[in-house]
Amino acid sequence: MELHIEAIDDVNVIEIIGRLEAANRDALKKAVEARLAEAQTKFLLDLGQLDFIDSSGLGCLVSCLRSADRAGGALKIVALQDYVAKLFETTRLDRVFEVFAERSQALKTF
Amino acid sequence: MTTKSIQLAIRSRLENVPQIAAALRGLCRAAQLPLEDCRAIELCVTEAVVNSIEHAYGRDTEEEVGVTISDDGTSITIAVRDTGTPMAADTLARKKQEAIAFDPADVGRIPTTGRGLAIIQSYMDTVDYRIEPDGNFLVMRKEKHPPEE
Repeated sequence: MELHIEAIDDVNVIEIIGRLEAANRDALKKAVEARLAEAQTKFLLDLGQLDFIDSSGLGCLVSCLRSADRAGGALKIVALQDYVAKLFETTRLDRVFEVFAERSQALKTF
Repeated sequence: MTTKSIQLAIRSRLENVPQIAAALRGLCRAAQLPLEDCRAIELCVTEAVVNSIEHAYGRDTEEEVGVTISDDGTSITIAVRDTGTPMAADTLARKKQEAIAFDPADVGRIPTTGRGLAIIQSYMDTVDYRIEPDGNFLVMRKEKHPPEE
């Protein structure tokens, strides 16, 4: 898994490339926690290049959301592929995350 | 049609799980399964293997997780075997309910774990768990559908 992170205004846009699973979930969590420690509390996760995600990866997304929420910030998602959208529906996470089709659309909502 | 079977085994380490997933992707492609079914099988086997590593073995990294994939022409059956602590008899049914029993508005209480077995039960056609003398077996079956045109 690779994480491409860029700051757009005060939002950290994190593009997750490859597989997000049990073996590497901590990398994403650490990236989010490091920024929260610097009082950066707004996150947009771009899942357009995500090849695979399992329940550990989903749990990591929830954990990051909880951390951002606890800090008074927000964590939203953009570019959800069909297979991930189905997994979100199966696990009811479609009711938890704000999901957008385009980055520009999502960034306006922070 | 003769049933074709392949057996795989890994040490009980999370970093080994993608190897099983890669092997499954190849097998599913060779069986000409639709992409959606390939993804479902890869996901469910990953969930089952991680479940064995994290729960049956409690992250003891020197144990073995075995995966047997069988293709009888009409369905793919995968058995994931471990020799660790078995699941309680009601775990499958309980997890299916618990995984979606949360208030989406109460962000701080949304669970971060416990979805794996529920996902398996949603994506596979049948799921069975057996405790036998030579190990614990999570057996899941997916009917084969013709590839999309």
